[in-house]
Amino acid sequence: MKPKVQEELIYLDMTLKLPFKWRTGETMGEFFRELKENGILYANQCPTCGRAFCLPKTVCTRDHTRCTERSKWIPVGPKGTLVTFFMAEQSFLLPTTGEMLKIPFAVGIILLDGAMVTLQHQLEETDTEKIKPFMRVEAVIKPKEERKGNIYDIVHFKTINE
Amino acid sequence: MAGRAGIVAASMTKFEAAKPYQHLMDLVLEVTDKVVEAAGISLKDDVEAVISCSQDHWDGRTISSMPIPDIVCSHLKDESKVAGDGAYAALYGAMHILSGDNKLVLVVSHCAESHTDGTMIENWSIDHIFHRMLGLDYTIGGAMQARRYMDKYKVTPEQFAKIVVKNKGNARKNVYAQEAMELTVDQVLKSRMLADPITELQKKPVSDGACALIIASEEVAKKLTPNPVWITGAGNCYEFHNPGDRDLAECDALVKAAKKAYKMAGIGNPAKDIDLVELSENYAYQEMLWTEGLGLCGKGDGGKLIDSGKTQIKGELPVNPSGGLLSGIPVTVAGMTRVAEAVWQLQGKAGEHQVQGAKRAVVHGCDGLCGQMHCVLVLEKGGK
Repeated sequence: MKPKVQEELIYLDMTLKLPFKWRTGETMGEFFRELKENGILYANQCPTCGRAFCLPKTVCTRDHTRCTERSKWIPVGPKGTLVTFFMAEQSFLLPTTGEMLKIPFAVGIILLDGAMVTLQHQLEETDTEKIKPFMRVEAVIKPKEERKGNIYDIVHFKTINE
Repeated sequence: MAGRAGIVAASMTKFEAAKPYQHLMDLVLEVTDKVVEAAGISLKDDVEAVISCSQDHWDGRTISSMPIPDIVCSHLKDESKVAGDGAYAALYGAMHILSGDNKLVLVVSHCAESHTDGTMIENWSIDHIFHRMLGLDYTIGGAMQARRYMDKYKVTPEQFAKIVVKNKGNARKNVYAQEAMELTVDQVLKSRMLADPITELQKKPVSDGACALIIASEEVAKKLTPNPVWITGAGNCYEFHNPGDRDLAECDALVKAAKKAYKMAGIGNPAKDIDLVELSENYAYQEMLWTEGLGLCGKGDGGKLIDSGKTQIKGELPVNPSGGLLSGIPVTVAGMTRVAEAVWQLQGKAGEHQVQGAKRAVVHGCDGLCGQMHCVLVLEKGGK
């Protein structure tokens, strides 16, 4: 016996869209200001354990010490080492841009020279065969006039031979 | 149950229309550091569990509690979130203690309403099949409730305005309050009309801030402070979501929540047995209606109660001596600040708006369209 095909009932089309203006706060705001104005990546340091964070942290996750002392910030990178990566082969609609994710899309976990915690960002290389753990990479920073003070002031990380 | 649950310390930020220099987690950090210092404990070593309180839509990220462990050292600890009003988070914190599961917990709530558009979020809470497209938000829902309340019990907009004059006036003595104003009934009624009968000054303003509590077991609380504040009664109850399924001039869920809390705390006559009340009035009419629900006066007598002057800061039964929500406190944080204010009152630390000799306070948190959900807590000092 063939199962009865259920007739589709009426559905409602609706889009949920909500504008935001997130404050970045003193720590992340200062990180973005340096990136935007000077094209420099900074790590902030925990006065207790000495770890240098890039991306920056307001408070040390281990020691709960505030890491806001500006004189303790150190420039890091733009070169670094790839720890691991992922490759997106399937696209989806990015709610932040309203555009489909361009695939293939590689994101690496990168330890910048001088930093003691990693950051995640896009890799220029999208050929899985050519991406190796512990290979050397370098941040490609946008020209000053194009920088907006967000994470895409770094275009991506390119592979370097070192 | 494992003894009593005691609130050891409380903290809050100053509430402001916007906090341009603070990330959401900076708000959490500020109140956490303050409450840990006030309690004289170590965040890393003494806090066993963290209950946070925030909402995904307001934060703009799903699972809005995800960044909290980094900020309050709760990684590798027990952590959970209340996505509703902060009074529920305090209740949940007390349950952690009373279950015997934890001896000391941090409860923290945050919200920055200035980051987004609250009217849109309120609209998203409305039934999406039938009612959302009508453009309802909490203010329009509130106007329906206020109107029904006026029709049924003959309360007046002038009485609503008196609540605003009282609360924003009380806020002048509260260092944490956002909008402290000296107003007249006429000024309140003549402020911009939002949804008749609710004028702009009758609505809680947009606000940013945070609040935190340390709740401990009886034994630990007594070691940490000579004046812990005990949670001696609790009740929580929900109305139907659809306003059309209730009589909006009544608040049956609040009546039920309050009765449960009073029974637990041994309160027979709330109007006499309570020294002060901190309740959650998102709109002026709500304070009148909630005082009825809390049994501080008879049904339909909320107007007479504000007229009598009893709920003034120097009256027999001060209601919202802090300035209430009308002085500006964000959603989710709201109910927790009611708890924090009552804790300070009972510890004698309220500052210029201290109610003399307060021994027993009732706090109320609420959330949802036309006050759908209500949480009532009885807080007391001393006793065995």
